[in-house]
Amino acid sequence: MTVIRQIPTIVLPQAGAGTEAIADTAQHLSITMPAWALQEKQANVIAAMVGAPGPLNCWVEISSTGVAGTWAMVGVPSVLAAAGNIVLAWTVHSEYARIVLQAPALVAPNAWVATVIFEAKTP
Amino acid sequence: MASSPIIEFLQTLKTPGGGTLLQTAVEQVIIPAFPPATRVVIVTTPAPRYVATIGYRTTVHIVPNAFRLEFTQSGFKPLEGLLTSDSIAHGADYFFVSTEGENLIITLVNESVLNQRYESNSYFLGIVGDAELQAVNEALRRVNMPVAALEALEAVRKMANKILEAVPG
Repeated sequence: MTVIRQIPTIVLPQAGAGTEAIADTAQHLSITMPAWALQEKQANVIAAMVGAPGPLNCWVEISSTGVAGTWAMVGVPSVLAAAGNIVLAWTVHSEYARIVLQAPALVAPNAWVATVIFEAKTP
Repeated sequence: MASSPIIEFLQTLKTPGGGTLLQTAVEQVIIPAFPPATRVVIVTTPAPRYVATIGYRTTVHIVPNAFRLEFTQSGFKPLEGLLTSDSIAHGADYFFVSTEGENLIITLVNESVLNQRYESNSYFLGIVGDAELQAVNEALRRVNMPVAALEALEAVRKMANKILEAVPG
């Protein structure tokens, strides 16, 4: 059976193409991605530093409804300590998935500037 | 993949010379990167060599529940729906005759929030000329005719032949 690849899509920032400035300690969420038909799901987090913002935690959350309060983290956060990229790959099946970025030790005016790209396959 | 009986019947039609009356053909559409919330409209007119086409089957190879499909013809919308796992597994069967004047308009909408790859194969019968279109119409008209009526027609034809044979010269 042929495998269909979903084309890589920017899911964070939520609107349009570009980058998200993470200049606070809040959780920055990607769009809610429909993941019911997908296999070999992976998100590529690409981040640059402004000053010394401390670590950037990146993780995947899944939900069966996409409604607030139903999201659960997959595994443990991956930590980006310097500018670069991390691939978050997961196999847990869920109706919806999203990527969360958080810089817990950030002190202004330091910041992260990040983009998250998602792709997957379906049989 | 089995076609509907009416399509199989049309595929058996022969020209007076013994050739196949209708040409079976496939139209493939691949959109490698279909952006989210985007609408693509495909207007299907018969190719230059055909005066009419009979579309009867579409198979798709896509992520389920990502695309909405609409068929529009002469202001009517005979088919509209989400392409689900069932549509992907079994394809969609239909019977649409499209001509130069009556195009079949296919609208595709990516309703997911992600970029998608779209691939479809649409099967159709090509009708090359007005005489062939007439022959198809005649054949379709005969499909639902009772056997008694067909036998009566045949009897009339034989009688007419006899009369013609009896005419001198």
